[in-house]
Amino acid sequence: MSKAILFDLTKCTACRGCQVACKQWNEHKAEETSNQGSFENPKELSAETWLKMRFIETERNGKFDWLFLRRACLHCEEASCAVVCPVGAIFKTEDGFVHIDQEWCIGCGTCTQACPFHVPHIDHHAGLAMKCSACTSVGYNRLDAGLKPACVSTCPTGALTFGDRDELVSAGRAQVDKLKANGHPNAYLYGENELGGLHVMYVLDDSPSAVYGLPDDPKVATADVVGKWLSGLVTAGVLTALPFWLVFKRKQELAGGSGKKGGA
Amino acid sequence: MNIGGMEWGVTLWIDLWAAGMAGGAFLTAFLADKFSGGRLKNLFKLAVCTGIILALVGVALLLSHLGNILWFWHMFVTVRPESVLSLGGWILSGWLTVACIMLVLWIISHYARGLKSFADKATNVLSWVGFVLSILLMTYTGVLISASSEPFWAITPLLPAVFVVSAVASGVAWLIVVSLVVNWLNTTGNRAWNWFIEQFFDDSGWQIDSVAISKLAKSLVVVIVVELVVLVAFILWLSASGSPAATEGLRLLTGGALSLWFWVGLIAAGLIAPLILLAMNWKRDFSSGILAAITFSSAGLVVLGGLLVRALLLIAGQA
Repeated sequence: MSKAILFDLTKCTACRGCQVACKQWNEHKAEETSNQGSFENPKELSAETWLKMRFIETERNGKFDWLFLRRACLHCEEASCAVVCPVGAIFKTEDGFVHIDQEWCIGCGTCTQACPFHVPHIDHHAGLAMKCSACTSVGYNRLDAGLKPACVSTCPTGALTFGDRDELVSAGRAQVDKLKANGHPNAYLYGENELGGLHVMYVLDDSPSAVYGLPDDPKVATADVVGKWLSGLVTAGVLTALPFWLVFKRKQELAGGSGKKGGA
Repeated sequence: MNIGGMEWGVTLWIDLWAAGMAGGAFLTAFLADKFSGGRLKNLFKLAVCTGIILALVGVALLLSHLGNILWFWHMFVTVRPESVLSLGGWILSGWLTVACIMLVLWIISHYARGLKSFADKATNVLSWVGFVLSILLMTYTGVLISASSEPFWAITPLLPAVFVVSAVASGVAWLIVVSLVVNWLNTTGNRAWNWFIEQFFDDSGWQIDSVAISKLAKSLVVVIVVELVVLVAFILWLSASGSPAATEGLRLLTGGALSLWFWVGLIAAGLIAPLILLAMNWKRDFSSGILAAITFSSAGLVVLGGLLVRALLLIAGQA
């Protein structure tokens, strides 16, 4: 049965309990950071920070708004990181979560460039790609123990829920309908269909891209790779045919055959 | 802009540059030899031998780029055609294998004359395989970067074209540089050099025909023009893309922190100056006297420009 996490940002108070629970459960080190002029800390995800809260300051309808967004792996059904991995170290679990096999990853970093949400990071000490595993990492697997992911268990407001993906899609849709009926016409369930369906979905009260900076129509990194191969090969074809033929066709100007000094 | 903190940093710039240039040099020498009726075998040998060195540099840097270098072998027990890096690893390995077999066959045919006929036939077949792999090698370096989620790299299919044309230009320029160096070494009477050449290649030395060097210089003029056209098309595509991230990368490149390197380093010094210098002397012998120095410098600038193309595009995509 496909599982998922639903994040309803209208219930989030940005207590960052999820961020701390993730660090604690996975035994990640604290990172030295500096003040960025916001409560948001650290500035970005890293090999030691798999989940963080984004603090968005914006103006809507002439009023200041302070919005919170959970930032971690979204566990795409069509996961770019898994597609581009040269050794097949990134795969989907039976529940639908995207997992990096730490025993097989070579730390090439290709996944860090392929992810449309810029989630995986290289741990330069371990030489491995790291990201949220939805608490399925070897030795830290909560799901196998019948527990919910640490972030979900710790959430005090019910902004995070874990369960069967189909049920969470229904719950998310219902919440979006409520928001639309209560003055949020752009409310949206992000992840229902994006990239084949995400296993971490967001109930958003406004536009995913304009307000929350999420890609509107994310694509798998290799979606148009055939066209890109063709672009290179056609260019190579034109280059091979034209300049060298034009310049080297007058072979009588050259000295004799192979192996002869001055000529070959 | 923290260049040192970029995931795809200096080792990858040099890896993509060296691997692309190895492919470009092979392709150039192969076609030059074929189109001239097999009269440029020494040039082809030079391309293969120096290409092996370039490819080995590329492999070494690719491995050093890995976070977990001791597990590099995982790439060679896994075939994943959907992963560009996996394909690239196999293409680079295939190219190196073919080039090394050709080198061994040449050495064998030198020592065992009876095997020369077999070695010649085998190297001819392998040269065609190497030609195809060279095209794939040059193309893969661009597709690897563009198969990403960075809009600056991914939004246009022209990035692989830029990498290919730059690899060919660098390959031609590399051949000019090493041909001039080899011809100069031949005139020095250096014993170690002569011993090396006589052991592994031809009794008569390894002289590269001066007309061939002039023709390479002329080819380089044409390839630089093509590179400029492809670069302009790439920039126009990015500016028309409407993607804020792609436009920001382009702004960095053409009007921001990277603009001096782009306009002066790449466009002026790496492309326009060599183009003018070589085009001005189109009808002369590029391989002797002061013109040899001009040709050498121009080709050297194009080689360095090839590195700059990769460095600037990789930085702009990650900034």
